[in-house]
Amino acid sequence: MRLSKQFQSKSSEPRTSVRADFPDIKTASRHTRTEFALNAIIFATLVATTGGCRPQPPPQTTATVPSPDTSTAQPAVVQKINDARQAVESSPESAEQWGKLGMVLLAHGHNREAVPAFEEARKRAPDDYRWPHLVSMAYPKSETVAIESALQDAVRINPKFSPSRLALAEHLIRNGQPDAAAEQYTAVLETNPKNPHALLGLGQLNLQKGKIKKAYEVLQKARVAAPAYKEVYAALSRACRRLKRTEEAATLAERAKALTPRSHTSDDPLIHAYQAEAVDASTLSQRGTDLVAIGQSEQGIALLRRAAQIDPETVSILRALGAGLTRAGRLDEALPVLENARRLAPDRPRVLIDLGVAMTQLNRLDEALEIFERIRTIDPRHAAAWYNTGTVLARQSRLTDAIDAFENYVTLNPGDPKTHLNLAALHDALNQPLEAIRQCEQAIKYEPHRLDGYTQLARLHVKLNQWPEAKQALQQAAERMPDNPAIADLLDQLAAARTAAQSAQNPPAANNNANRADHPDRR
Amino acid sequence: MNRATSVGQHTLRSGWHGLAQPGRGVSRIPRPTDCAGRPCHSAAAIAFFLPSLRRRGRGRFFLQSEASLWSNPPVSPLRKGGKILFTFVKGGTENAHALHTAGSFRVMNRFFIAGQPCTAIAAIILFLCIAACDRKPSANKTAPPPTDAPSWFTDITAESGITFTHFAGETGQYFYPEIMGSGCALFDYDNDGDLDAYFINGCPHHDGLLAPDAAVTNQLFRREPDGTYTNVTANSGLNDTGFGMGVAVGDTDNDGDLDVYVTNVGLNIFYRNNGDGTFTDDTTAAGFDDSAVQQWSASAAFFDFDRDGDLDLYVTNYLNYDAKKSCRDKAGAPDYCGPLAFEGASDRLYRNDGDGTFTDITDESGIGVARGRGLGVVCADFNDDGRPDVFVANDGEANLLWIKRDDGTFADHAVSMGVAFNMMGRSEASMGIALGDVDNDHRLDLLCTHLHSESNTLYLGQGSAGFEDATGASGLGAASMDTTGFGAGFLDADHDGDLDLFLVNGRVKRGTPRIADHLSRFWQAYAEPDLFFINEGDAHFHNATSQAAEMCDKPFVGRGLAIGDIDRDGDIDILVSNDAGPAKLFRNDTPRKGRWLVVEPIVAPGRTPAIGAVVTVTFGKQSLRRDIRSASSYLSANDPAAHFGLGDHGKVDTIRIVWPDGATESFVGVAADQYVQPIKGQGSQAK
Repeated sequence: MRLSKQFQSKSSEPRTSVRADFPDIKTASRHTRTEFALNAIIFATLVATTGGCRPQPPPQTTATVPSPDTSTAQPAVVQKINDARQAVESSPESAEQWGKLGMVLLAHGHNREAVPAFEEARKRAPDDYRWPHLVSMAYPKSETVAIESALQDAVRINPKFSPSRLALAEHLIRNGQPDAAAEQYTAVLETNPKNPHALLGLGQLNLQKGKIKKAYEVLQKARVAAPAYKEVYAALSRACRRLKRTEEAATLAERAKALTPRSHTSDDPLIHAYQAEAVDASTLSQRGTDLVAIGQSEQGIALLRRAAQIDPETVSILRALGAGLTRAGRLDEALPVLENARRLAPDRPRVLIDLGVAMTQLNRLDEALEIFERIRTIDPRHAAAWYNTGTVLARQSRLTDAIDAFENYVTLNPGDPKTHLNLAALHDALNQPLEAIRQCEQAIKYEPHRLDGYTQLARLHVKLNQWPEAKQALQQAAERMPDNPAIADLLDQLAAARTAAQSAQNPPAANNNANRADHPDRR
Repeated sequence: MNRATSVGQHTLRSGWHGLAQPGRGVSRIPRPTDCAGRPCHSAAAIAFFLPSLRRRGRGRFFLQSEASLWSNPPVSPLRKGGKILFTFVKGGTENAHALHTAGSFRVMNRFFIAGQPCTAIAAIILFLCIAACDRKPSANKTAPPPTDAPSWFTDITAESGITFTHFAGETGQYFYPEIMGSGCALFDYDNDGDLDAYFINGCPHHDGLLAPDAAVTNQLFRREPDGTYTNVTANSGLNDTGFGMGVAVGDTDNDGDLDVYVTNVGLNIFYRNNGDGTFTDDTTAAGFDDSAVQQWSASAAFFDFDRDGDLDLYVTNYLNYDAKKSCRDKAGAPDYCGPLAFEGASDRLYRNDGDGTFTDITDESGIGVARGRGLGVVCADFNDDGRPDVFVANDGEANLLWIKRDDGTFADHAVSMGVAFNMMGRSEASMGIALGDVDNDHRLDLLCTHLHSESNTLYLGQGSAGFEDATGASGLGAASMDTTGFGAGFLDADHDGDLDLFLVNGRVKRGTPRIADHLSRFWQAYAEPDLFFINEGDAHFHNATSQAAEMCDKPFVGRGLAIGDIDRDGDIDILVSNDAGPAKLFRNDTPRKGRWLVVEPIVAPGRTPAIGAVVTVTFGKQSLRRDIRSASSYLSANDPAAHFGLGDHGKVDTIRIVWPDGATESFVGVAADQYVQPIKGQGSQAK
């Protein structure tokens, strides 16, 4: 019989001994034959079900529901975790509930316990890309094989979900596989050619390989795709230095330092999803602040209020709530919250800054100025205090003082285009258009893909009757931002304005020159 | 008033006449709305460009809120805060395996009960097959330590007589300095030719206020001829009672003995060496009195930035701490704050005036323009222009690389030179620094230690072009992702000619408690094992922690690290200071792959160590570069001698020294396995 032959041939025992104990099918009794056949069927079934030596998925058994140590956690956190655990216990077959539990655990820092929850969800819903993606975040970073496997799985299930590819690419870079990482970035760009994270990644990889010009090209694309992406400016600065364009490198470096960081994870909806499960006060506060920042003020303020209820004496939460209310224009509500924060921390600059902003919004400019001056007394190098002082002084029409304040800010925090635009406006107001133009040019230098720098520059040139220069400024904008439809409109408007001005005034060229020569800046 | 239409900062529009709605921004030019979507050249549009039709002086002002300017950068929750695990047992896999096993035994029982030996054998084979197939690849496991092989580093703390235990003073109020630990130094304070040990200590505190206690001081241990250490703190004068952080060592007055600068949370102290084994607090007289601007200082470094022959001083300041601020982890439990909860502070630069005094030139040097959360500092020529520069490791924000300019001031080039961020352009929590030429290309390479979930980052020097993040290729990336690194040191442990790496680790946020009976339950949640890597050449590292088990296995809240050859046997030994734990001294017993040479360049007449000198030895077709530097690692001071592993070479052909003032000399070769002290001016001029 074939099976028995196979069996014999694979046995490690001497063939003779096997033969000696093995019944001969032909001579066996009927009873023996029946039992042998039965065993053979069972054996064959087993081999068939186990599939030989191929790796098998684990059986559909239910894992133990993770139980993290919550002895020091806030009651709301304990409740949230318990609810998620109970939901799993009620529906142990539900991948969604296991995944939700993983997200709740991950949101509250219980990464170790989140892993089995996500793995269970992954097992029960093997075609859901969310669980391998999330479990890759929960694994300890040293579990490189597990992380890579999970991310590969997520990419396989949903190849168009770029956060998985980006995370995988970064993981591969960290583990010394730059070429494989480049493949992931390329795949992202095939779906979305303007994905700034993928462009940045490719640029970085080219930089590392010494392909500096290529890196520069790719990074320029990233810069156009995301004009305020700190990491892109940093990489461009490095590329320029390697290309020996030191001045450009320095400008880009200053710009990079002035920007706030942005990670590809900030665009990952699954990260936002698990973070949304957090109910501890500080995370609620952070999420509330984030929501306010992206314009979802009401939801953000609601979260901030919850955080303040949980932790009413924490200054940073009160400050965040006050700032959120200010931003939402609910100044009457903001002021008592911020005053309360100041009562708890009278000399904390961050509290005072937000209070000063609220005062400014309420047009209580003298009080605001006093607050900003107080901050500068505590910390003479507090850049934000200088900036806001400049703003308040400008509103009080103390233009020269405002210029001084903004100049101080620029010294402390170079590379910020909007400050240069403020300075341009102030110099313009003081009838110093040439200095204003210089400030506009500074702003453009730091952020060449920001339209208002060009428009302000164009307007200043028009003011000096320098129509060609004005047009040139807008054309420069058009070159750098070819996809911005507003620029064409502006060029049309400029042409119309020129026509209108010429028909109204018809100034001779000589007068133009005379005007320029007589200008205060010139003198 | 025109409405601003884009989303952005708080905005003041139209000059200084009223606020725009918060959350509204700038940059879109208002367009007339009555033109049905077509370009409109109406008077309103024309007015935008024609100043005669506009009120003069209109502009835009952006009111900058605290949130937009100083808010913490968005970070992945995996990177910051909360409980984060270290070891993970794959429970799921193990459970699955157990079930397979049980199932297989049931099958076997069935066969045996049937009395069929053949089917029983079949079942055994089937069981073995299933068991073999069920194995999953283990994830990045290092080989288990060889049980019979001796550790490459031997813990000699007890036999040496070093009994220092760091006092952090944890009160449960999570006073931030508690978790930052303190540094240590290996230096020859009494000029008897061997390395003594100095430990910086914390101090009692309550409700955020320091309460110094004469019984809790920094401690000095003198090395005796028999190799033991004696606590000589009481008579040395080095017994500051402040909340100590770091230490810098250098001969500031060129009198041949080493002076000491101690950084504190609060007033820093400068000790002048009296030359008789005692020190005098000379802080005020030397011009270091910073009582007006008491700050939380961290690492400090003596270096001769103006190349005038005396040592100047760079001091990093960490942040403007407010003890009233409390922080919590992701589950809402109290924990230590992170650095971004506070504002950074400017570092200080002091110029040595050559008459025993120093002048604070922070502002005039350009250093003062930047504020960071500085923890580590190293000084060297990073752009190959011959002038000393400064690299500062900032915690949670861009590092600084102060490049010295022609006019004597400094400018930060960290971004363009590629050391401000990691390869992905992201700020990391830089704490400790190791500096050395790990790929033997005669360019300095930098390693910064970071928070768990961030790898330590290795920047390979490219000369004037800057640095490239080579962490992934070096093998150091994943290996350090689950630890929080502080002290770091490059040393050629096995004398094969390339620099190996030792890393001291310990958490700053509470984690899963380690099994560490030698620590209190509180500190077990912050303890981590250390790491040791062997350089396989070309800056690729192999995790050799298991070979250095005696040094690395026991988890502590590691912070400071100083290296030097304590027993003058030609290999580099290691001194570690642990936060709230005992200091540790490890003797290097690594199997040697070669011979060695230690070069100690000195400057007459005081026989002052030539801090900042670059030593290159040539042997056969090889040449190696090592720098004379004391300050590096985290809050610590190393023996500055240049140690070379020579492989099989029995001698070096030449010793070339670039002195701190830029002069270059060559000295004739010497035999291996000895200490040599080339004296400035006694070599032959070299290019």
